[in-house]
This record gives sequence, structure tokens and C-alpha cells, in this order.
Amino acid sequence: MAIIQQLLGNMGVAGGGVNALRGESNVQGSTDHCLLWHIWPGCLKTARASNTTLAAYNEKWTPSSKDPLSANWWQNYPKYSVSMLKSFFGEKADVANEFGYRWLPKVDDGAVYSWFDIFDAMYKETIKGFFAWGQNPACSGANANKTREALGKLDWMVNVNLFDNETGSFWKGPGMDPGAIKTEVFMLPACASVEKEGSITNSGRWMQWRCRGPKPLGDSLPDGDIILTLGEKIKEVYQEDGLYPEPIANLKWDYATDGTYDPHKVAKEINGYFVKDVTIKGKTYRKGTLVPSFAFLQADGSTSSGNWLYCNSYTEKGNMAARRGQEDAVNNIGLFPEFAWCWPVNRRIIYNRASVDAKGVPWDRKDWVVYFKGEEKDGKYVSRKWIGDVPDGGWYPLQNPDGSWRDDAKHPFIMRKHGHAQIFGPGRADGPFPEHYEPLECPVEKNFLNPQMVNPTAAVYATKADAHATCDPRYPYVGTTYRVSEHWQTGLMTRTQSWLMEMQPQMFVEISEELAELKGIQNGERVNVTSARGKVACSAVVTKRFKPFMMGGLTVHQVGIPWHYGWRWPSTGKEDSANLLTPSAGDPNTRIPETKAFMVNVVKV
Amino acid sequence: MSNAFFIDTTRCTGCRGCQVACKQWHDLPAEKTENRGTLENPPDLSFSTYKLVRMRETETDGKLKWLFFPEQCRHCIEPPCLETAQDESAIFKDDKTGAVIFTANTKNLFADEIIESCPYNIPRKAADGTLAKCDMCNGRVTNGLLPACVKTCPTGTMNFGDRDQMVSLAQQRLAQVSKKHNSAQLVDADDVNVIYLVSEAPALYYEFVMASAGSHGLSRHMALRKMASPFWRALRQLA
Repeated sequence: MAIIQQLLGNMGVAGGGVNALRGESNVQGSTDHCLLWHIWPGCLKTARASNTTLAAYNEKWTPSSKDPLSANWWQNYPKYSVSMLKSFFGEKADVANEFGYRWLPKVDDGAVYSWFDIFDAMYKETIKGFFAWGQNPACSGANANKTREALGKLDWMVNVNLFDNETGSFWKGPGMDPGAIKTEVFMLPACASVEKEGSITNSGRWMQWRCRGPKPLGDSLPDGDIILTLGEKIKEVYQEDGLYPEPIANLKWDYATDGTYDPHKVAKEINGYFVKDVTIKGKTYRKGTLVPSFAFLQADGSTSSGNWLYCNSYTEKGNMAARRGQEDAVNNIGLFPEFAWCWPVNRRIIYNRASVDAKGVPWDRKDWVVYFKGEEKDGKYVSRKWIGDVPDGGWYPLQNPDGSWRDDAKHPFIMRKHGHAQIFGPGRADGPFPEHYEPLECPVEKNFLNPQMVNPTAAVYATKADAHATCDPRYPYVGTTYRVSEHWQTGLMTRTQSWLMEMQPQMFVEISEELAELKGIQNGERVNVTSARGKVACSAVVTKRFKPFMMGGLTVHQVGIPWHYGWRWPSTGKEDSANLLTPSAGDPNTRIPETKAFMVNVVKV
Repeated sequence: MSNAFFIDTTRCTGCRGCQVACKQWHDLPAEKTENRGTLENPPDLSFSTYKLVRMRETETDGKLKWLFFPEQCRHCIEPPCLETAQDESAIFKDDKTGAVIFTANTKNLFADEIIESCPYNIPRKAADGTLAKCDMCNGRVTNGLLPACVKTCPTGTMNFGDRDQMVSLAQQRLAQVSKKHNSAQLVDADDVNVIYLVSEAPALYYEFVMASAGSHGLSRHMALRKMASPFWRALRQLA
């Protein structure tokens, strides 16, 4: 998608780019703040074992370009990594201890620690304890039977959630023998997002502050309070007799006000402080004041910032994300610059200087994003002024009005090493260009587009729970999974709602009229959908919306199932997750599971 | 001047937000349902379901269409139910909003007779014979709020306002939609305060989309009803 948009010139323009449709309102925010194993906050790299010192780490991940017109913004990497460490460890972080870098865990070079790998490790009994925080892996992850079995091999599990779910109660789920399971399960009741204060960041990177609505019910707490209290207790225990206590004992952990979690303190920590008096360009910033933007961050330990991308979001002017200004910008394209706040530095469209020609004039004169309006003298620009969105770097345009090239300009793609968009994508396990492969399970014995059948670098796992079956007469139909508007995620917040259950009461499988006839299945009848990994009972929905199709001279039937159900609710216990069927196979770069194409059978009960 | 709905089915995605919003505002209980081989549920309007999105799959010229019809009371300009009941304490019309309202006193009516009178097959009865249906969220509307179903609709399907405005919006949209769909039409627009725009033949959406298929619409239905009403009243007295 990114390659197509680049070729079409749809980068940095209004309505351009690629907008990820997320499964949840704060996916952007949570990944910005280190949800994924391979990146630290602000897209900094997780340290590898081979990055033995902070200097080596910074050296490894700071790119350099010989092109004087490349901004190469990541050259600032050490400022962001050191400021992050200062946020983590506060006054305990100093030059002598590499700002605490040595206390952070490093991942083995070449190893992968994705979702699949975590459950694989549990299954193999190398991980023995588990916090399931706001998730329901017994239903949400591909190959859920393997996940459920893995949970049974743990010593302990802490389930942090609104309600009991299929994960917390896995030990009494279908096919389980509670007497044989040793896992000790703790339930920490959390409140819902509307019952707590904080921010979410949407796919457009707008960080929006939200006030608390109703108070949390019963003993439930905002997860900020849960993690803060846990942290305090863990610090206590480590200080008493912890093995290698420094990483935990030295953690800065002062985010409470009057004994409860204070989201403003965390938001300010994420923005960052001057931790000593700092003079920059003749202006002195006092110790303890908030850093105005990431351009002020330093690599010498004089500033902190939990996430440099969010530096500028909570400043001495206040909480920028809480703004609710209704005025649009001068270009009137829906930027609303004073509504909430957008990273970086409230820039609403990244790489927006790609929307202008070399002289700073928009390609699109109607829905323009930025426009260079500096003064001109004798065919040369003599002052700098951009209007519209916050420009992606306020440098002069590449060319003067008379067509001469400037040497004080920068290319527009400032986060790329050389300042240009890239079609060739180095660093991908299966790169540099996209290629079509058949799924791990497929109905044909041959890839009709190239001689390589499946992606040779795809992630596959080898336990006996990772069975797969391709071109296997026992599983002759293509299966796919999707969502319905009535249920959300694994359904924990919707399967408990009677009005929603009235509309979507049961797990179902959608099949074509042709397949129904072939199998003698009546509309509405209960059937079993099976794969090499599991079995799910479904109501058959015979529909014109599914049609058999031809593939290499073969008639292929496809069926579709929603993924939101689980045995815990509804109380019949007869509905369960589509992920009992899906394979634990993942793409080689991010381990996105292959839950959209796999092989199944549909059989009458 | 009354209010009216304009329901633009060409914009409906079948999300059923309207269906839930209706239950929530009226605090109606969920029905015990099962998947019947369709995503449409509950199976019918009922004493506790005033709004229901009908879903039909149809193929014309080899092209598949999944048609959604958010069904509700049409708040007829001359309501046959009201005419049949002849009891303003049970069924009345709020002249300010145009809402046709059923009260608890519908229990005293001949429920089947009222149901039979409706050309759109809308009213439903409880076990004790009390009747219920969409009330235009009259309580909300008279307090300056939109009906719950309109408020929640994210696609522009559900619209509500002064009848004049809705009629003009409906005609505007009809003109646009007609460019692509020969069968596009406004359903019974002169007779009802819930004006549907459909892009296909009404019968493809659901049995009771129009007052009656063919030449005689709601007006004729009403005329017949009026002719017969003395007969019904006599029957009622006998009972």
C-alpha cells in the first residue's frame, strides 16, 4: 500500500498516506508507548544483547547521511534515548551508570519475542508466570487451543480485566480437567476506559485527553492504579532481598497524588522536564519545568522525556491534548490544529513538504496542506514562512523562485536516512519487494504466480499443537474470519450485553447456497466447523454473499466465521472462538497471524 | 406543521445502531433469540421491539444486493389504527409533532383489529392485549432532542425534522439516486411522516414496505377502512 501511495504521489497530501484501520481506539497510543516487544517508546529500538554499552547502542541505531540536503532526523537518536532513560530512572541515572542503560533487559540478537513466541515458550514451559492485562488470549490469539493448553502449564497467572473471561477461567473450560491443572490464577478487577482519566491516540495520531465519566464500580480500579500499586510492592520486595535489585529499585515511580495514580504526572513525564537549568540559544530553562518540544531534548542527561514523539504535548502552557478548539487552519482541510494535539509537534500531516513543488508551491492549489510564503528579493527567497499545517521542518524550499537551487534546504522525507521516500525496503525479512505466496494452508498444490509455494521466511511453530494441513481432503474449504458490528474484540464487553446478544446470539458460519446443497445443510442448522487444530459449533447462515470460485481449474468453496465468541458467555457455554481453528503462523516481520486464510471442513452435527 | 423522518436506505449499512438505541431509550428488554440462518434478529417486531432492520439478499442482472430496511411505524398522516380505534385515550396523534401514540389503554381495544388495520403491519400486542409500537420518541422530540434512532445513526440514513425540510431532502436525494437506479422511489411520501427512499423495487426489501403493491395505496386503504368502520364498531359492541 505504501509503495502504491508513493508512486501515486499520495504522501504528505490531504487525504493521502495509508490509514491503518485499528481494532481498538488506542492502538496507536499503546504502540507509541511500547506495546510491541521490538520497540521502546517513540520507536526507539529495543536494545540487543550485542549493544553492550549505551554508546554502542546509540552508535548502532543512529543513522548518518552524507547528503547535506538530508535532515536525517534520526541523527538526534541519542538525545531521545538518553532523555527516555532519565524519565525511567530519574536522579539515579547519570553518566557513570550510562543513565541506567545497563539495567535494562536486552533481547538476544536474532530472537523474536512476539505474541506467538510468548505462548510457544509457555507451552514449552520456559515461561512460568503471566500477566494477561486487558486481553483475552484464550479467545483472541490464533490457535487458541494451544494458548489454552499453554496457560495450564504456568505456575501463576494474573488476569487484569473488567470481567472474568475465558482466559481467567481457562482451567474450567471445555476439555479441561481442573483437578490436573496447577496454575494459580489471580483476578484483578479493572474499570472500563470511560471510568478513568487519561488519553487515547487515534490512527491519525491525535492524542485526545478524556475526563472520567462514571466512577469505577465495586473494587475495580483504573489500571494506572493497579500498576502503580504493584510497582510499589515489587520495589519493596526487591529492596528487601531482590536478586539484582537496581533495575527495579532505581525506577522513578512518583506518579501518585494523595495516594492514587495521577494521569497528569505520567503525561508530564512522557512530555519531559528540564532536570537541571539549561541554557539553549541564550535562553535559560529552569530545572523542573516542562520541555517545550523535542528540539530542546539533550543527550547529556539535562532533559527527560518518556517518549520524545510526545514532547510538546504537555508543556508549561498546559495539557495540549485537552484542547477543544473548533477553528480550522487557514487551508480549511479539516486539520483543526487547536483540537487535541497531534504528534509530532502538532503536525497533522506527516511529510507535508512532499505536498509542494521544489519552490514551496502546493501541487494541489485547492486542498493544499502547507504553502511557502517567505519574502522574495531578486528571484531569491530571503525569509522563511510556511502557512497551513506545521511544516515537516521549517527550512527553505529546495529552489528559489528563479529556479536556482538552495544549499540550506532539506528533502521532505526527514525520517528517512537520505530524505527520500523509498520503494526498496531494506531490513525486511522477506524484502525488498512484496511477493505473492500461498497461505500456509491452501486448497491448491501450486502457487500460480511464482514457483515458491509459501513464504520461506514465514514464522511457523513446531509443537504438536501447531498442526497444519494443506491440500488435505479432510479440510477441503477455505476458511476466513471477520468481525460483526454488534460485538467487539473477543466479545467480553458485548457478549454480556443482552441487547447485543439479541441481535447476534450465536457463533455462525456463512456458507454459499452451492456448498449448503452439496453438504445437505439447512439454513440455520447447527454444524461443526473443523480444522487441523480444533472444532467449533456454528449456526449455518446460507447466503448469496459467498460464492464458490475457480482456482487453477478447481472449484473452491470459502466459508466465513466471526471471531467474537467464547464459552464463558453466553451462559449456555456452547459458543466458542473462531481462533480454535486458525493457525499459529505469522508473517516474518511482525508475526501478524494468518487468520484470514486457512483450511476447514463444515460437517453436519 | 408536523415532523417527519426521512430514511435513506441507500445509505444504510445494516449496523443496527438504531435498533439498539430504540431499545435503550425505551428501556425495552432483549428477546431470547437464536441465529436462524440470517443476521436479522429478533425475528419480528414485538411488544418489546419497535424497530427492526430487515435484511434481504437479492440478485438482479447477476449483481448481488444486500438490502437493509430499518422498519418502524410510519406515523401516517391519516392513521388507520387511530381511525379504527375511535378511542383517543388509547390511540391519539400529537398534532405538534405528528407522532401517533399508543397508550396503556390500548388494552381495551380489539388488538387484532388494530393490527389488521395497519397497512404496514406494525403494531404488536402483549399477552394482555396491550399494543405497542414506535412513538417517534415523542418525549425526546417535544424536548428538542432527535429520536434515539436518528441521533445514533452514523451514516445519514436516519433523518428527522420539519416535514417540509424532510420532503425536500428526500426529493433531493431521490434525484441523485435516480441517476444510478431506475427503480429509486420515495415510498408513500404523501401519506406518511416516515418517508423511505429505496433504490430497488420495494417488494425486494420486505413484504410491508408499501401500503400495498400496485395502484391502490394508503388512501384507498383508508377509504375502505372508513367504509367498514361502522361495521367494526357494531361488532365490538356485540362483543
